[in-house]
Amino acid sequence: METAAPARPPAEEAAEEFLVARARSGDQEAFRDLVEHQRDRAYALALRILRHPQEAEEAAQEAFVRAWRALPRFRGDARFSTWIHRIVARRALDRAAALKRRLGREVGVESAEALPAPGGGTDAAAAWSRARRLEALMATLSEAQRAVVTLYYYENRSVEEVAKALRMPEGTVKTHLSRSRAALRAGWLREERSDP
Amino acid sequence: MRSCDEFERWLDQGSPAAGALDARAHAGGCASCAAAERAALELEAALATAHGPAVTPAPPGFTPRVMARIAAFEEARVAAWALDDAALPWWVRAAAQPATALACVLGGLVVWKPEALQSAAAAALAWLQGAISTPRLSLPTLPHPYGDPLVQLGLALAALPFAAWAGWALYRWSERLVCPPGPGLGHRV
Repeated sequence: METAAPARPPAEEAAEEFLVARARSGDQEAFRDLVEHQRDRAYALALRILRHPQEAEEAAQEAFVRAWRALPRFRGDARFSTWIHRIVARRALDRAAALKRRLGREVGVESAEALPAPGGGTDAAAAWSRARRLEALMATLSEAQRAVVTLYYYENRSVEEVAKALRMPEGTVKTHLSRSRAALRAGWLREERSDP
Repeated sequence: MRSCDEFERWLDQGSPAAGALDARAHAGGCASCAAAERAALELEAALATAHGPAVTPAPPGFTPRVMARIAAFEEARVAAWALDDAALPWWVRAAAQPATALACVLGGLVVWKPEALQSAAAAALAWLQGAISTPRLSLPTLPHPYGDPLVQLGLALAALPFAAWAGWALYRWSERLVCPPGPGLGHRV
């Protein structure tokens, strides 16, 4: 089930390209605008992988600084947003690995992000309940699995794009996806049985 | 699809269209596989609705903190350029130049294998003569006392600092040609 990145209006793309061109020539104000546009998604991506607010912020900030440094080498093959999300995902995985080495365990499992409270209606409440259950199950995956699932489902990237972003072979991405689906499904069924 | 294991593998692969008919037929007669498929569909639905605009916003002050880090990086880069040009004594800068290393290597060869160097130079000259088809020249024979190897060594050692300085000056000149001084993108990232 391959998915494609969500389409964006041409005007938004053109504005991004214009800002990137200015930032490439050393314009920090243009880069600030790019950060403003991408910060929430970048932070959310890091948070989904790391599940630790401080570490996620650090990973996202590092990613932007690295992007600034590497901007002269950015050839524009992909959109800036795609490029920055790749860097964020890699930084988050690197930080997760470093933290795991330091602490000797997976990070952030106990600190699931707070989901916004549901609006009115039973549908919204049911969706909120499902989302909470999913968030709890996501915490049981490894960082690499979370990164793959996040990019594939939440960021709508294809297997090929996920592999490129995380510098993994496509076979490894498929294996992570497959194992993640199995783990999430088993957890989902377990919770259904315990809380029908 | 003959077994529950095969059905589970099909679900793990993301329920691809290939094999869907067989899988559904199997689930029709197997309560646990039907429950697993229902869970997989609910999960896919939850994952599909989890992305989109409802992203967690970055903490307040995120952008200024990023820009402060970039400003600090740029300051450090400018300082590194200034350090290259002014803060170090001339002999440290000269010693760090590739030309100095080359001069040292040449000096070492002169001390270690003077005969080999002379024969290599003669061979190179002979090849050059052959290449341009000019009357063969012979290597100049140095009159006494310059023919003495010790004197030659002394001359070579005396020439080393000049070679180092000339190499360094050439390097700086070529650097100025291709890379104007001052901060900017693309410099030592």
